[in-house]
Amino acid sequence: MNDSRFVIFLVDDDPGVLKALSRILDTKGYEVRAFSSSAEFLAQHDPSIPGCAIFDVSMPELDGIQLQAALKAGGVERPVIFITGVGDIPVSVQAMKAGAIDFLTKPVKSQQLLAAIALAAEKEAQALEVRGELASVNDRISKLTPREREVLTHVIAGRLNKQIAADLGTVEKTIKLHRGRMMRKMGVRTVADLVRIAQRGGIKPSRTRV
Amino acid sequence: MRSRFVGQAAALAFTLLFSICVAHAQNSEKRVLLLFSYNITFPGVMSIGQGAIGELRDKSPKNLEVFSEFLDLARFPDPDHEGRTARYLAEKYTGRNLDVVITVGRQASQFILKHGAEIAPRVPIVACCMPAETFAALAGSRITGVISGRDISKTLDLAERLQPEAPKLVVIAGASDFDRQWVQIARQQIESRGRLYDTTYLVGLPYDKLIQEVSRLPRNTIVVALSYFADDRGGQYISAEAIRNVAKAANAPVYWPYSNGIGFGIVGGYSDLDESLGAQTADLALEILAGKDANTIAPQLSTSGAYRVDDRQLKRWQLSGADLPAGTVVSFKEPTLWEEHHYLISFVLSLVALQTGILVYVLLQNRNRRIAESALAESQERMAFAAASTNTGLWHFQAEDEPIWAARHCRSILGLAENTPLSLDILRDSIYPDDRRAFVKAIRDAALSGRPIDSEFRIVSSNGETRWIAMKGYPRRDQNNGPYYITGVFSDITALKTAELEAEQQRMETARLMRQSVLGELSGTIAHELNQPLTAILFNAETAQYLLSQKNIDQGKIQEIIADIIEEDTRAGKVISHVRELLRKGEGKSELIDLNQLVESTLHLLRGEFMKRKIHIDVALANNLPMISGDPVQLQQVLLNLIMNAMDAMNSKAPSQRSIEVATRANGGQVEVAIVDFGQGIAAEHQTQLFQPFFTTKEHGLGLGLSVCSTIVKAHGGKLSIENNVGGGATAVVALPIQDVLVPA
Repeated sequence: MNDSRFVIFLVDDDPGVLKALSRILDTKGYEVRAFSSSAEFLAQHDPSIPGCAIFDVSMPELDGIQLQAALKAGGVERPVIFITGVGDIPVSVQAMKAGAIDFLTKPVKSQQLLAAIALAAEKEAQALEVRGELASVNDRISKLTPREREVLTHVIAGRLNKQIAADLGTVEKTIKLHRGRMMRKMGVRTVADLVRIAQRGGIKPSRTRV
Repeated sequence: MRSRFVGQAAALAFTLLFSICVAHAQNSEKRVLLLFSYNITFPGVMSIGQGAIGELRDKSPKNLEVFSEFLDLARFPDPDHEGRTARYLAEKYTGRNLDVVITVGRQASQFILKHGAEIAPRVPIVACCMPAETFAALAGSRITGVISGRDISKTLDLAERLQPEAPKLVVIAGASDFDRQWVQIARQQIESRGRLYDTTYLVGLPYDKLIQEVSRLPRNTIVVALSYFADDRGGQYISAEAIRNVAKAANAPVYWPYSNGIGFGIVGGYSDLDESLGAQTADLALEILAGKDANTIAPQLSTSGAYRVDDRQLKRWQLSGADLPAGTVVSFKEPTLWEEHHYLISFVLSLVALQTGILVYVLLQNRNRRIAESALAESQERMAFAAASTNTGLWHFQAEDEPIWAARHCRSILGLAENTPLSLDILRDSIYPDDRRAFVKAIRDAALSGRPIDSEFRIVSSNGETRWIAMKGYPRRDQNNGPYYITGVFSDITALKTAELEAEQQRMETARLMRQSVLGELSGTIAHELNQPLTAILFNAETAQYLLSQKNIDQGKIQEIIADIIEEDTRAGKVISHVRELLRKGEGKSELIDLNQLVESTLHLLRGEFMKRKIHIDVALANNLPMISGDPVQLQQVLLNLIMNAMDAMNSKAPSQRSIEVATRANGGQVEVAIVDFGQGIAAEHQTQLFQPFFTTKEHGLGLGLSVCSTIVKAHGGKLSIENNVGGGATAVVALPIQDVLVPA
């Protein structure tokens, strides 16, 4: 819980609520950054910092739901918890569909809020893990030579060495050599593993089937 | 015969003499060429030219032909152009036999020194103006003129008097050779001064950059401008115009040692007057024309040097005119009315005093006559009134201890038996107990003061019914100023009163229903307004609870949290009292109201609604708005209704176009609040039905809003009007009469 690398971004146009909310989260040991408007938040928000966001729903100019959409449109996957003065069902459904962690109605009990934050932290950790794995896969793929990469797309398309050699206009022995190096660089032993991580890395199977 | 001959001879002699004079004048006509450095459109050029030409015309004993040429060399610095101009002028003035060349500005002097042999060989030159050193260097070459050096010391003296505390001095100049020489001169003058400045030289900055720089200077800075003919990128400028613009843009007072900045944003400086310079130069030229050798005329110092300031600029920078050096020429000072017209004012005042005396006398005379006339007129009116009223009872009150005479109908109105003797006591006892005191007081006051009675009271009839009686009375007295007697009428106004009361009750009930329905619509918003402080309170309380459970209790922090809780609680209380106000059963009470405050509290109530509906609100409240009198609850309802209508009108608009303007202003004897929306406006066919009950264009509307609003505003003596805007949407204006407030001294 006291992971200092986890930051809570608060956006609420009501200064009283913003102050009280920052205070309670700060007391509970969270690092808090408080903003009194969506514009202020967007101007200063650093998406690379891990953490979650708590948005008030009804704010002037850009409201909480629009702010969530703006983050998404900018490619930022930040877990969002909404708090609202009015429990509006259609709005809450919309927010949850857009991937909100929770939609809490004011006045919010701190217990509820802390539970939602814990959930957000868990989600963020998972996302971090996925992002880390993706980074390592991409890293491995980037070490392949163009030829090895070509061989990879054929292997995951289920082609045999012989067929690949024919497709690429070379002999089976050379393909075998490339394939061995490629499997080693990718850190996998079986074709099944290779298919799994290639997919994660966004590599599509070759379509050179005659 | 002899005498006739003498006459003829005299006539002939005269004619001869005259023709000789003319011939002489034609022969001896003198020619002057005015050579200007700049174009006529440049600031100052015209003044110098006019000064010179005016002086030449006025003072020349002989006929003069004045030529002028504007070299415009600052804007056409190309040497080829200079050569072309010289050749052109040489050709143009061949055979014109110029007697004097007057040069205005240094470039013209340089030009004529260089090309004089072609254009005007051996013609004396009078220069306006050159530094003393230049004249000295040219001694013996038929040049004289007016000395005017480049000097900012006196201009700085002035600036230091006006801004004695200014720590910073900024010097502004361009990048031309002339500008840079000027900077050298100014630098020496500044460095030799007693006062130490933090001095910045802004030399040759591009024009836009310069304007930007000066607009950011600290207010308490002395800015001295020199000249600005070019920037360091080669851009050419009209110096005076550039510097005028600098002065306008600067965030600190700008001083300039040239008089043609006065009136154009420059605070002031020590400078020569352009017109005087021209005239002084012309005087020297005249001496030459009269036959004097130019080499023997010593160059003269300028005589028109003076401190000059612009009073409007002193005001702009709040500089004190009291600090000016003696003899400063202050321009654009607005004379006070007294200064300008004190003879006229004294005269008018004495005239008014005389007239007042006469008036008072005439009025006194008139008054006695009027009193007699009005007594007659009122008695006639009374008779007519009595005759015309069928349902009124006439009565006559002579004195408190005497019986009251009353017509028969009077007794029936009061529910008394026909032959009941009437006295003040009996009358009083027939009245509803609560109204008795007021009744007696009304009669006694009238008998004492002579002022007419106009009051109402209630009686309880024999069948237990309450009836309303109106009483009107007219006190009179005889010519000897004896005690007043009163003649008057009673009339039964129960039916009228009941109808009034019923209407009022209905109106109030409808208004309350409307408020409740508005509240229903607003419930979500109000819940939101309440939830905010409640949320803050809950979080704060939980934080305090958590802190209290810790080992080391931070007393200060807990104090702080509790203070916040109290503040938020007060805020919640305010929301509730607002709502309660709105729900209160209006009793048509009247109090003094600040319309601005009412508008603000209404907008506050609607804040959440604006947010929810994404409507932008522009508020423009007039300062010092007079008070109005009325029922704040009812008037707030009018505002609520009108603003909510405005919001509804914009439902079909895109959120970016949803905006409402609310503005207040005083307009004659009224104050107005206008609510402007940018919705679809009012359809032409609906215009006439707007205020009719049950007319609505809304899906779920009752059609009562505007009709109730209009009734409320009318009951306050005001007017509600709604009209379409030219550019779309509609404007509702509530105009209410101003309540005169007596402020206790």
